[in-house]
Amino acid sequence: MWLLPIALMATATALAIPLSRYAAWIMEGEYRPPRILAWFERRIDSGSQTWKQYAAALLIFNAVLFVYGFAVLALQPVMPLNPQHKGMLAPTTIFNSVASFMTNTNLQHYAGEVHLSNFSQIFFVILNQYLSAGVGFCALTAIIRAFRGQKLVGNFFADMWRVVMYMFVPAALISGVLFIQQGMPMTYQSAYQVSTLEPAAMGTTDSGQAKPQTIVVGPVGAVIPIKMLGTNGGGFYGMNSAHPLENPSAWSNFITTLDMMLFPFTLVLMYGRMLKRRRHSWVIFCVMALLMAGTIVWAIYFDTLKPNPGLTAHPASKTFTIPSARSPGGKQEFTLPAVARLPVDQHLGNLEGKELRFGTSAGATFAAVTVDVTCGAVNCEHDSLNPIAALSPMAGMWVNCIFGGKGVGMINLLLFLIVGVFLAGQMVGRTPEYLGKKVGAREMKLAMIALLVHPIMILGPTGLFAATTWGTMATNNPGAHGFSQMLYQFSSSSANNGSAFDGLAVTTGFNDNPNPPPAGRQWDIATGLVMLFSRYLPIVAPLAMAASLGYKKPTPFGLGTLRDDTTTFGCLLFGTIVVVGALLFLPVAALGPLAEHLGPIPFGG
Amino acid sequence: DLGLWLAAMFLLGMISMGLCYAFLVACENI
Repeated sequence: MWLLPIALMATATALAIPLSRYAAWIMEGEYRPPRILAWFERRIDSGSQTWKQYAAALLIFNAVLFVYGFAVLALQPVMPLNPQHKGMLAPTTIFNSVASFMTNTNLQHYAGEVHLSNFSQIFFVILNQYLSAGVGFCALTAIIRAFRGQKLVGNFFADMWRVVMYMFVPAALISGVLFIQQGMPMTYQSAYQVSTLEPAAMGTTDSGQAKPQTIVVGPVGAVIPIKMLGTNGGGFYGMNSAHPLENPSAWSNFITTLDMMLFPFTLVLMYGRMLKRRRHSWVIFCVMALLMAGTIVWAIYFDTLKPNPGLTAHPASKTFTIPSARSPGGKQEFTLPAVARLPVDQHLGNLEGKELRFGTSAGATFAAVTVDVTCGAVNCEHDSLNPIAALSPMAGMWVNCIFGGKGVGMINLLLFLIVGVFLAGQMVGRTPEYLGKKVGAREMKLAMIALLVHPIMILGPTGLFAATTWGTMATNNPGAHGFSQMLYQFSSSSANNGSAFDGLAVTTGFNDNPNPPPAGRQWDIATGLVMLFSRYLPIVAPLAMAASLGYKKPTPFGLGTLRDDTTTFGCLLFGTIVVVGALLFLPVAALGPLAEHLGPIPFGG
Repeated sequence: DLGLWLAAMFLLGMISMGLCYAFLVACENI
């Protein structure tokens, strides 16, 4: 049970050390590429840019990605590689999906095997998964160069080329071979027709013949490596990493989980190598690892080691009256059935929505890791996690810096770090310093703006939807669990995570869907906007902050200087993350998972 | 109709990216 998370953390750390050296070597431009690649590189590199030019190039690049993605999805019915003649998605779903994939979120208000053709999977999903993953990587690299005091922070397009060609493509090729060896499909065919073992399991035709089963396949082996390595999380199939063709075995589950940890771990150590402050980066790494271990232990303890509260014995049925927007009079009678002596063995914990072929703790471990590294792939049903265990993935998305997405997780941590050194400076009556430079009012303003975007983008829309029928009409569960579903959706969108709690009616799918969900359009638009603003504002402001700090003259090291490579600094950073995170999100946690855990209705509240 | 919805969603994305660029310009003057 505990072997899986320990093995994952140890393996990811061991691989991150040499990989961080390689990443720094690539991003410093010290490599000698093959001639054909060097030819492309010379044409892409238009010269070094200031931080403003770099940020502008990043935004323009993403605007072009939006136009491209919108065109691919809108033209899906007339594109090739679509033998099943899949139609066009609803316009709001196109907006949501394009915003989702260009921001590295991969929140999916559709099911891949149902709604996307192989053309869209290749030219929309895979392309975005490589490029959106590179954006965060590039942003962190530019911030490191700015911290070093460089007026010119590199060229965005050259950096993107390096990240994709020399980091992601080789890693994805290795992972892809391992996945295909485990049985993952890799074909341009779109589906197989097979006879079922049980005759007529799929029904019979009018003439009495057994209907075949249609098993959707495609270039799964090309999608999944970059889905995980790029901490994208958007799967080929709607069931994501719980699908037997997307995650065929316990071994592929281990590689899948390791893949999503690899680059987030690597970039923290790359930060230290490029700044020549490796001890400092190890302090940050240990703080992040401690927080990740905490979320994993929390999820396993409260989910794998505790029974499902919905299946524990309630000798007598109970009836509750709860508010419900869908019921006449605004109230609904909810009866909790008697389940005494139900023949369910719960000594293995809550097994609802789990894939036991991966092991009992694999679901809880994956749930914690996927939100910590803002990947968003899922191999179990987060909606079915024990209510208090669901606090683990939510907390990971709220602080959004426990390794986090490649680059952006480290950037988010730098915001907490700046707040931490500011608080430490205030406590001893000394101007705060970081990397030997004095942190002034401008840096603090930029850090706080970037830090506050995330809670505003979560709490504002959650409050709006919880107070209107847009939210209450979409939830499948009553009370606090319904609120948790809404809260999770906006937390996932704002953290650019993309995992879903499920239980929300948000999938409109095709434009000609005769029964769209009642508030599908509102959810598409709201989560799409949250993803866009929560992606780019917290990249631009920290880049401005790093440039502002980097341009300052270094102050000499003195007795009163706060050293950034000590255990004391690690404790300060840990405390800042926990206290600021709790101050921002504990009230809303009390309304969702905590109320659900303490309330009388399992998965209700 | 479908065309109007498509145009509206496309414009919404472009306006959002424009606002992000405006934020970049504002960051210079903070």
